[in-house]
Amino acid sequence: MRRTKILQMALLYPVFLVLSISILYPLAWMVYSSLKSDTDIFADVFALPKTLYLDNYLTIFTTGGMDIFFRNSLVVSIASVAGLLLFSSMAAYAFATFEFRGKTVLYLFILIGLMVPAQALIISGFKWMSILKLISKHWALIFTYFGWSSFGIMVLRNFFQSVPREVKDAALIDGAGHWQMFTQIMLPLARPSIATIAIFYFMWIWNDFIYPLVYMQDQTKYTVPLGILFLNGKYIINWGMQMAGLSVATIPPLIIYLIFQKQFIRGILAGALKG
Amino acid sequence: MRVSPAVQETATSSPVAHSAAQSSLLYRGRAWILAIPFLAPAIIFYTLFLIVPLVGTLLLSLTEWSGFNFADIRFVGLENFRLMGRDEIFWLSLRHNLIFLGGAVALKTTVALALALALEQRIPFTNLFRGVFLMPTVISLVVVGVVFRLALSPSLGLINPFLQAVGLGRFAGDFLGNPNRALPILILIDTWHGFGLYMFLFIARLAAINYELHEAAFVDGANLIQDIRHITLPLMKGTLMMVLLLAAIDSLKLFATVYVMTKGGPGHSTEVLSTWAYFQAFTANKVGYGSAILVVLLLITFVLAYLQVTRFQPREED
Repeated sequence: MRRTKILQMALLYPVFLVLSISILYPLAWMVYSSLKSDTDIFADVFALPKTLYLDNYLTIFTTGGMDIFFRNSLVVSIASVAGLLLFSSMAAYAFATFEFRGKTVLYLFILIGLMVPAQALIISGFKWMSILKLISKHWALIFTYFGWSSFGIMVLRNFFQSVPREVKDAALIDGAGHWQMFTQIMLPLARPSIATIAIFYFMWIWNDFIYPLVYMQDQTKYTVPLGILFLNGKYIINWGMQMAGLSVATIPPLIIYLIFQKQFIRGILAGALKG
Repeated sequence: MRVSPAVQETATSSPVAHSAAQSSLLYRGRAWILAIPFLAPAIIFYTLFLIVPLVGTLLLSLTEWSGFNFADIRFVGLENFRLMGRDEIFWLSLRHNLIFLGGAVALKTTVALALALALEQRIPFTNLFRGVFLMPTVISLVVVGVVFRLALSPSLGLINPFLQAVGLGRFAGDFLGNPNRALPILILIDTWHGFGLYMFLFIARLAAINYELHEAAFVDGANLIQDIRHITLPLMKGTLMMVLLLAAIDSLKLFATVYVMTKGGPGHSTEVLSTWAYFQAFTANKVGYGSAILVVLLLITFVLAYLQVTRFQPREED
């Protein structure tokens, strides 16, 4: 058994290592190149920075507009995730608690949202947003993301249904209203599930490209993914600045991933494969 | 919390009678009135910003419209779908979508399954490697696209010097500018970005296989390869089908990578349905025709998603 283990390690570690390097090196290259001047990058693309050169970051934040893009992304992501969590948990509570007529049909209607690819809605969505006069307004993005509550409703409905009926009934007979029961008993119980969907929605919304591309026509409204493309055009020969923009876009989801890996993985297993 | 007498009484009765009694007592009758405030916000946004655009795509696909003035919308029935027959780029795009689907699904599933099996072996550091393999999925496709575009740059990138250094210099050269190479490169990059998700679906299934089955196999004299072939893989069939479908659906979402890396070029060699529809609607001002292309994409996705949702649901969280 010990010999097979050593054999396994000898065979598998090289594979794991090569793969890990192919994943980590491009990312590391992006980050350390952002700390080099263009002269240094063009002298040797592989070389590590000799000094800590921060001018690329200074430039993209002071004159490139990255400060605005970053703020826009924060506002849109936080507002959208907050609304999605509230609305989907409320709806999930209703589906798990009340026996109203047409419940199954309504739930199936909600599940349609799990199958729709976002890019299939951009053309009509653009016209719809023009009618609503929301083009180049962050509300266009926030409202659109609010519409993608199906995943949250599904996960939380399953959770709320698993709460023993005795817990719910005891609270109701004690005279608590449904709103009280929802906020004071069910939401605290659902904290792990809520964390899972929050992480997933944040990653998707922060990284989303297609809706900002179509709905945000005004540079001052760009979110980070659109902003880095804009910086790309603006600093087409300044690789250092491009790398700095890319690193800034990557840091928030990467930090959240490193902290909340467990919740993120739970989200995958719950069927969240938004791309 | 005080345990009320009502609960104590019903706790002993059968579960069916219990829930029926409870629902007649508390949940029927006023149920709709109670449910509406909880349902309203989610349903309103869902209807206005998902269902309306979805129906809008279907309706616009039956029209001819330049997109500027609502008075100009003309109902043309299925004319847009007839036009597709003569649109060579449409068929080319559909072909690229299918090649991309085939390539990405095959690569991601193979890599994910192989790594899941390898990571299941009880050797140190597997958790660390799992974490690394999942990392690319959280990075924006725009970032991934731009980083690899720079890395693949023929004049200055990383890839060409690397190929020369390891003796594969004959493969060096232009990648994204070469019509024969661009699409395979996009498939490789998509695999780099997304295999980790599927790897975890396999890992979850592997972890659920009863350890005693493996023990029994080993006691019967099976080696590791035989154990994987005859015990593990047959039990993974359902998960494998699910992963194949999910990866296929996911591959149809292709847009950002193409938009960022090649814009559909060179010479439409990486054009796909979503980028072609985007071009038709927003550059060529053919809103109806662009929508019709999206309907084709939507139909393919729905067939695959219907299979996945009805037959192969992922394990839901505990």
